[in-house]
Amino acid sequence: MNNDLFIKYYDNQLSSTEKENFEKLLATDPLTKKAYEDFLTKQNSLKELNKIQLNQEYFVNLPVKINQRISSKNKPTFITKTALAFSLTSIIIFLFIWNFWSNPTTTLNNSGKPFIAETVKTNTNNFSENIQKSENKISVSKNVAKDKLITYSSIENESIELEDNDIDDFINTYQSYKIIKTGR
Amino acid sequence: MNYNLSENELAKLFIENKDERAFTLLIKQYQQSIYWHCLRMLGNHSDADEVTQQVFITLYKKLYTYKFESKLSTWIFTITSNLVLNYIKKKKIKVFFSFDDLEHDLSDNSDIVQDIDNKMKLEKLNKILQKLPEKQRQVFILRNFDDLSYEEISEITKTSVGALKASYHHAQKKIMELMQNE
Repeated sequence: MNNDLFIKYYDNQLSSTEKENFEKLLATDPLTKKAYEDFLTKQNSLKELNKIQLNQEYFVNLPVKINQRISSKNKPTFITKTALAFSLTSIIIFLFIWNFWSNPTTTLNNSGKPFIAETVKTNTNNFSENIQKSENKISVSKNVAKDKLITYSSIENESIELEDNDIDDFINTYQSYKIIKTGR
Repeated sequence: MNYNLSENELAKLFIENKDERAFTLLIKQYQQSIYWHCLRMLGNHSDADEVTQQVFITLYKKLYTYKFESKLSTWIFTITSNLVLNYIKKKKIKVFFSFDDLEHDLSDNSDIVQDIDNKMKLEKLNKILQKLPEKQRQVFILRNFDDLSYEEISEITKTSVGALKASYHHAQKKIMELMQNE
């Protein structure tokens, strides 16, 4: 028998005229009616197969499982953290190397020594000079401070025993006073 | 707070306020229908469980893109449908390269059904449905079991109504033949 017609009728795909004709056929032809009933029995068996009792405990736990997975996806994993750390380190190293190589002149200086070594040495020498200048300034400042205190003591007719800590404290206080007074 | 809210209200709460409780309620509202759809499409519990979770994780990330133009159920089923078909594709590739058989392990369903009757029913249903090509199976399930209209299925699968009707028709014919032989 014609399954195509049964399927279309069952799925409501027939036009109103076709539907009317089919229903007339069902009413008048017992063979067609029997075939359609067999078709309906199979459809109902399929729907019965679908009526399965599932374990409801699974659905009680499912939202918890989903929320746990969502929370774990929000945290960066070990691999992500490692990759991030590696990228940052690479960028820093790259900037450091680029800083040294950014000079457009030749990599060798006039004496033929490698530029990088010479630059490092120059930078180190500059640094030492600055340290020395600072130390000189401090010793000058200490002498000035000592003179001032001695002058003060002679004016006030007081004897002052000076220790290194006293001089340091005086310099700090004097410098703070100078900053407040001059703004420098 | 009273959570006797419609799905659209729950979706709005989650999108605007990142209200996790609203999202959990959405999960509870849709978990059974989505799981069922996945189980019928994939044929076993562990695959259906995995894809169901993926659907909700995707929903969590992408719900802010929902424009309230179509029904939320249609939107969710679109995500489900795409994830299921992608999963089937990936599984086929995996199976191809591992030289394994593509037979579904139906003993996998012991977590979700416990009594013998239901196990047999599920086995029979899966045996019939898995004989259909994926896209035909999808249309058949959405029409026959999820009771969606052709217009809704068209929105989900991005296929014309005419093509869907033809697909459903072929699926029905094949199912009837299979049931005849059972």
